Amino acid sequence: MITAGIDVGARYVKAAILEDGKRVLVTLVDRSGYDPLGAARKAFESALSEAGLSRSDVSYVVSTGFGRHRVDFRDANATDITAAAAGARFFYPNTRTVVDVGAGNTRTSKLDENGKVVQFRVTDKCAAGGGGFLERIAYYGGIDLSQLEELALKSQKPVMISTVCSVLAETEVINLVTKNIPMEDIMMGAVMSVAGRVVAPIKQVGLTPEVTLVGGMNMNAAFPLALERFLKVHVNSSRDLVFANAVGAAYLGYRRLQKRAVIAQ
Amino acid sequence: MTLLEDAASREPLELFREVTEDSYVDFSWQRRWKEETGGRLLGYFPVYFPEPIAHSLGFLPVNILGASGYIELEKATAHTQSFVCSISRSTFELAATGHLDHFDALAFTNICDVARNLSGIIKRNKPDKTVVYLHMPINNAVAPAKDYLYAEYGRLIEKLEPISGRKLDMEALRRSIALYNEKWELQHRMEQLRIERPWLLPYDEYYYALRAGQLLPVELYVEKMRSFLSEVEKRDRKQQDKIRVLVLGDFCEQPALPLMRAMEDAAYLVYDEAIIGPRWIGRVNEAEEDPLMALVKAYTDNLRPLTTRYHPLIDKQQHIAELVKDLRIDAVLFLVPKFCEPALYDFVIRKLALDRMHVPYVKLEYEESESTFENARMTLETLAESIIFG
Repeated sequence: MITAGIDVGARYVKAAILEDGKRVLVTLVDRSGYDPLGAARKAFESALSEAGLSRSDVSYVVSTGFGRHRVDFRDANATDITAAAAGARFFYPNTRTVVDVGAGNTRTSKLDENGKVVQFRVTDKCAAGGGGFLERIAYYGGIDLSQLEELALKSQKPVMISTVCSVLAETEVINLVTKNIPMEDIMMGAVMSVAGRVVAPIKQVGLTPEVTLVGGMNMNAAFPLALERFLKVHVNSSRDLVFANAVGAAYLGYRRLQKRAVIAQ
Repeated sequence: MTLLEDAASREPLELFREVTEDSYVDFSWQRRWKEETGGRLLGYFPVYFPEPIAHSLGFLPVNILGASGYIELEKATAHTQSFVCSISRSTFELAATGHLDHFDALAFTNICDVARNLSGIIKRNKPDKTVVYLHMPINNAVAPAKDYLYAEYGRLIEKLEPISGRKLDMEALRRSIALYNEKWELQHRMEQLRIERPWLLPYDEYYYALRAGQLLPVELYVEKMRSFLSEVEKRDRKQQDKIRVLVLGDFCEQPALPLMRAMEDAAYLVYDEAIIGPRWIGRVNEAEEDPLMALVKAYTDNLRPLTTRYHPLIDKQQHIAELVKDLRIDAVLFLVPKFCEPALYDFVIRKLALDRMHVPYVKLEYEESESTFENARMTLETLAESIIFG
């Protein structure tokens, strides 16, 4: 049984194809751009092609993310909270706290022992506590986003970016550069700045190990390290978790089909 | 091109949307209709008004449903308390700022204390305006209720005849009833379509089509509605795996359309109470010898519950149990306007029945000036997920 998950985020769209709720056949990521539906369609078609499948092979499609309601080929949609919980448990079955730092906002949730969400928090004011902030800082620092991880990991003495506004942070970064602060310390400071802002919503839902980080921040190994420094617990992190919400959505689709089969009997 | 010629050439949905959006503040369509046809305009406050009476006297009966957050409430803030519902405040604002001046008469019924007082406030502030307050019977199960309502409709007719310049003609009333019955049939057909195949007709289209029925001349509406429904029934759209939700509480003040769109992102809203009056009244008996009495009986003998009407023979708990079963409802959304006492009273009655049946429900409050709906969507979506994926 094949199910698919499409995570239409503010910056990136991610697609995942799952077989029998167990095996991830394909994951891929692309820019959301100005046409989230078009990007979702393209990502889905590309994922099918990569898996050697056709649309009719897929029994159920679940969309999630910021643009989930725009996906007109979906069977159902799931909130980021629910999809992230399912995805985190798919990769780390003992997850009790999920941290999902998106481009525009951050979501944290606490799960019970069965993986059910019992508490969640969403920050929705601006990108200051999200991945978008790091994109801006990299831009202000004149480096490519892909270099940010490597630079930040070299830092010996990170300098915290104090402003809560990603636009005003530009001034602060310029000031730091003129003070000859090494770029790696500025970048790690920015990473720690975002991690520091995520701590409060984690504590609001109640920090319970295991903690799993999902979403694009898994592309930056400096971020889970920074988070661990604040939380003083291990944070599950891996490149696979970039696709946790899409995989979680596909897994929810699998569970839905199972439930339907039970009801039908 | 005249207004009616222009309307005849328009796509139904385009016309429905245009007159609905125009009715939030301006009613310019109705103003032009009056100028071009020489007809009279009657505006009425929800929930129910006997439209055929006004129609047969040459009026275009128009439902005034507040301003839906489209105007600032300045005069209303000065004249009314902050703890009354927003539809009454914005309706007063419309009247006080001259947006209802082209209406020849305004009608109110005793749906709640606020509506009763609103009628008085408008009358006092607009002394030149004919304001009719209809006292609908409280106990509809007793025999005198019919004679009482017959007399009350007579009082309404006496008020409208001088404005109309003509006397009520029973044959004209009979023809009007037949036309409004046709309208009811079409709206009922649309209701059934939403129940059976909600994915074919998005909520906003359904709402425009419903609301336009309270704004356009019935003859034009019937023609447009017939064409609209034929088109909708032929649509081929993907059905999604969504829960089926019953919406209760929106019988008077109108929830913002973006709120309803947000709700529809999470679930199929298979039945709701928007503009419920004309749907609730049902088919009026055309065979009745006295058409005015037919209208009276359609109200007093109606055993379908209506939040703003008491009837001792109606068991609202049993009714909601039947609705849940007949419409295959997964969850109930109580969408209650802020400060709406009738909706809150019914919420308690209905929730007790749902508790007994273990049917999940959520209650959300709204008002006209709201503009962010993300939390409301998240609430219903979370409930939907617990049913679909739980």
